[in-house]
Amino acid sequence: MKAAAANRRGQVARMINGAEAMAIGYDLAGVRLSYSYPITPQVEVMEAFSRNTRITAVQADSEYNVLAGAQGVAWAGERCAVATSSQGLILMSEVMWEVAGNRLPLVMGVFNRALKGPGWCLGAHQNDTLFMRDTGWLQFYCETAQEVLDLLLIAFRVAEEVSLPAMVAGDGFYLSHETEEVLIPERREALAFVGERVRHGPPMTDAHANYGGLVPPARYFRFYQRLHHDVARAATVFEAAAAEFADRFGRRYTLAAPTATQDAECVVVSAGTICGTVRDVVERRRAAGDRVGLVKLHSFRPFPGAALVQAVGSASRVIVLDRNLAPGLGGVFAAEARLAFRRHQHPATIYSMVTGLGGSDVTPETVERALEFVARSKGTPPETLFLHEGGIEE
Amino acid sequence: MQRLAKQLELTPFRETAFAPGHNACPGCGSTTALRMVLNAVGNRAVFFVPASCASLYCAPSDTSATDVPVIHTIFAGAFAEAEGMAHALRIQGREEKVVVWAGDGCCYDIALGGLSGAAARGANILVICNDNEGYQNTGGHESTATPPDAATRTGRRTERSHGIRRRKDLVEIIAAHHVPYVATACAAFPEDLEAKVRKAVALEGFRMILLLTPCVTWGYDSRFSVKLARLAVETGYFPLYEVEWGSHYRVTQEPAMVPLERFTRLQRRFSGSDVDLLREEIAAKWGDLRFRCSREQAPPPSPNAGGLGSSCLGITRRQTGAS
Repeated sequence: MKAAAANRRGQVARMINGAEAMAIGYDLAGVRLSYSYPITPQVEVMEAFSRNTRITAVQADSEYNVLAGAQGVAWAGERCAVATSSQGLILMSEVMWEVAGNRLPLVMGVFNRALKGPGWCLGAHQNDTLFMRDTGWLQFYCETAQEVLDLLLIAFRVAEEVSLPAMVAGDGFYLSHETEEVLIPERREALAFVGERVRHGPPMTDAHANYGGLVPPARYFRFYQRLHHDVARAATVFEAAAAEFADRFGRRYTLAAPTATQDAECVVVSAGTICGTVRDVVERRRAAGDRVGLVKLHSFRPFPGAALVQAVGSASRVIVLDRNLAPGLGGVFAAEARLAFRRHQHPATIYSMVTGLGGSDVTPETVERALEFVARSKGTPPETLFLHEGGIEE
Repeated sequence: MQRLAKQLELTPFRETAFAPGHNACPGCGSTTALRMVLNAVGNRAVFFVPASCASLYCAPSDTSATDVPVIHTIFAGAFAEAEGMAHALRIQGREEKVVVWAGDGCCYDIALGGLSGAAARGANILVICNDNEGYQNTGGHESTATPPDAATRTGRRTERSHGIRRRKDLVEIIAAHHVPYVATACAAFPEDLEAKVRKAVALEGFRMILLLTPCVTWGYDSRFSVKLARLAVETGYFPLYEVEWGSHYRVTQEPAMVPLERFTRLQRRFSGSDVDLLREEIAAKWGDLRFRCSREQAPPPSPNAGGLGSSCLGITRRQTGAS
């Protein structure tokens, strides 16, 4: 990030929140249409679309039809802005599968919010996006409003190159509503990075064809085999696009971003705004001589398993902080991390800690408590721990 | 007749847009109607087809039976998908017409909210409701378009209707959105059907045509599919009419009101049914329709495209049909 100040290249610094950053990202990507439906905390993005005279903003009758409408736009080879949260996203579930199956490169902004299980709770909670795990959508996670804007632009590049849709997710309220300084790229530069706006191709170029009709099982199987490889391929495509983004705008992103992991004994892994708090703790601990580090995951799909294991280095203990829960399994990122460590034969002990559910605060003290617990613990830890403000429980 | 057809540019039997070899059931009433619709719309179009028999029969064995691109969609998403594409085509300066070919299960039931939303937003799409009065692709199950007391695979409609004797009236529901054009049609009156499709295609905004399409699950001899559509009109069971801007009603085919049994007795679904329930429904529907047609009011807004007058293309005359 130090490069940013020295390398602004016509970028303008503005104090904005994540919702505005998201809307600006879409505008810079040259979208001319937006689809949305009011839901907290996404609704400020929708308001920004409606203020933008370059965008025809359509307010659909449900999030289901938000995504269906956006899919129609994508069928015509046109970019479309789509944003949602929580119930809205899971209402889109059926359409999510179709968009990915049709290999349409939509990019959707999501501000994560808790789902109505036991009751209404509006805070940040990642189960809405993680519920989409198997749809074929790429999933990128952001720590700051700057990342919302930047990852949106990168997501367009990746999505369009691998012909898969992508979500750019950020914690509701913490990101959507908190104001921070964001460097906004020049319009021309951003468009040059994202590339040609309209993609000419089928179905408009091929009259005698049906799309998405009945396919034989063997072909269906092949479709998904290819889709699987393209999700995995998106990791390489992301790194290449991120390198070009760094050249143009001075901010370097990577799918598994390490902070102070060299010679670390204990590394915290997380995604989203929690990473900012962890980084703060890590820097203070490092100053006090503790060998702790952080790996921030920018992506859930593709899951950057190899990069994560490499970034963790020689640490013997890894804490995965999950602002989500797969009941009966534990933290979702932790489950994937366990697989990656096993696959890459890394012997670190994994501590899965579920925290911040429903948007409850994850403070520096919470993170300290996790580090202290791990420093003291011996033997095999319980599969899942619940990290509250007040303590750690099984 | 030929001169009139030429004058009106009506060519109901041209077969360029829907190829033989599709794999619909023998006696399918919807493919006959689809062929007429495709021909009338022309080839500068994109069709959206939500889950239905047409999801299967438009693209048999990795081929395409249609002359225009067809995008198959999930059950409830087609109207919004079509709307999104219409928006994109507009800003790209393209002129393709966007048409949705959807069944009654889609329009009346699972996607009614989406249909209403698209209508209320003035989506620039033409919706063709392929109304075969039930979920026929799953084998003949009840939808809210299923007539009173008709047998389905899960029993008779009245068994669960708690005193509701008339069906949901989709044409009236959509007309109440005050959209430019809503009409009914069927394949037994091809000139009426083609004129309505052409009129609808020439208009901008939300348009819907509800087609009655006999389905073999009604339990009839497959050679009777067009005859049944014709009898549905002639008995008054299915009025052919159009509504402009939600207020200007016109019956386009005066029925002879032949005895209803001529229609019902050809179908096993009405075997043992209380046909009086149907008679009640027909009488009530015609009562509403006559009233709405007779209301005096200001002329409808002039059409916003195609330079057409407010009347349909000369389709008030009696037609011979095509059975």
